[in-house]
Amino acid sequence: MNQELENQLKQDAKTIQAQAAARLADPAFSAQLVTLLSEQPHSRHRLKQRSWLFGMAAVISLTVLVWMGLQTPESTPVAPSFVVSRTLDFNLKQVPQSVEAKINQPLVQEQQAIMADLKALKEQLLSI
Amino acid sequence: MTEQQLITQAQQGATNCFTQLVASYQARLYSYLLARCQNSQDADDVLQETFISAFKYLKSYDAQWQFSTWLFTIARRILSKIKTVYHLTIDAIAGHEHITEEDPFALDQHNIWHIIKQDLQPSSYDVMWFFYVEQSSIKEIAHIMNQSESWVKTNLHRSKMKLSNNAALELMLEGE
Repeated sequence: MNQELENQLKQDAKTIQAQAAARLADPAFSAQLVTLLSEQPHSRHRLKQRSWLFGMAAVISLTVLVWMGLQTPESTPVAPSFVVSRTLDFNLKQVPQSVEAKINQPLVQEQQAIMADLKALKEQLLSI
Repeated sequence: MTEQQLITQAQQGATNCFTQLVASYQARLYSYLLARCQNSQDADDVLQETFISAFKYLKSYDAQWQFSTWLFTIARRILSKIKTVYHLTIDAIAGHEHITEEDPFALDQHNIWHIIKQDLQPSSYDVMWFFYVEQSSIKEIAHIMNQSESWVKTNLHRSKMKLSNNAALELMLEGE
């Protein structure tokens, strides 16, 4: 039974294969498939071809961003207590000194005012 | 040009090379689909979809498997989707068993592959086709079916046992 079954399966498969061949022999049928294939974008290949464009675009974007970041904005009067520099082009040694000077300025002025008052009081006391 | 060279060229976008591959395999693939599908129109659709998918995802082809194995794997996946849609649509519209128009390329009702379709699940039918007609190895069949090799062997054995118990089939074979 098994051998007969196997033989019959193979024999009848040949009939199906002959049917398939007859169908595929139709030029219109084959042409339709070729047309469909030619219309398909070979997406992965084209993506690879265009990948250098994406890289270029990324480099240009980064360059523009860095250039914009390097542009020093016009300086505006800032409160002595809080000074935030936006520019990357600054003298590292000067920053602490300038910040310190600006923070200490009012304190120094007040100190000088107090010393002046104390001098005046001393003179008044001595004159008594 | 060898098949591997054709595949390599096709992977790089050579459509004419892929067309040659299509010409090499379409007969085998279409035979399987004619046996498997309800009608030749479904077989036509699946054949086209299979080659379009193969062209689209050609770079994912793994050369450790035969090219035919890869094509049959794609075809089975598409076939399962189309059959689902087919049954849902036809049943919803007709409300009863759909009577197809005469299909010149439909399987002959006396063809054993038409007869055993009534007895076997689609997966078992496929295993039988790949083993007896395609003469694929158990390993290749397991890859197509996405199953283990032991599953394939067991499935094959059970299918043969089941068909052996089919009295009508036995009569037909004895009558040959």
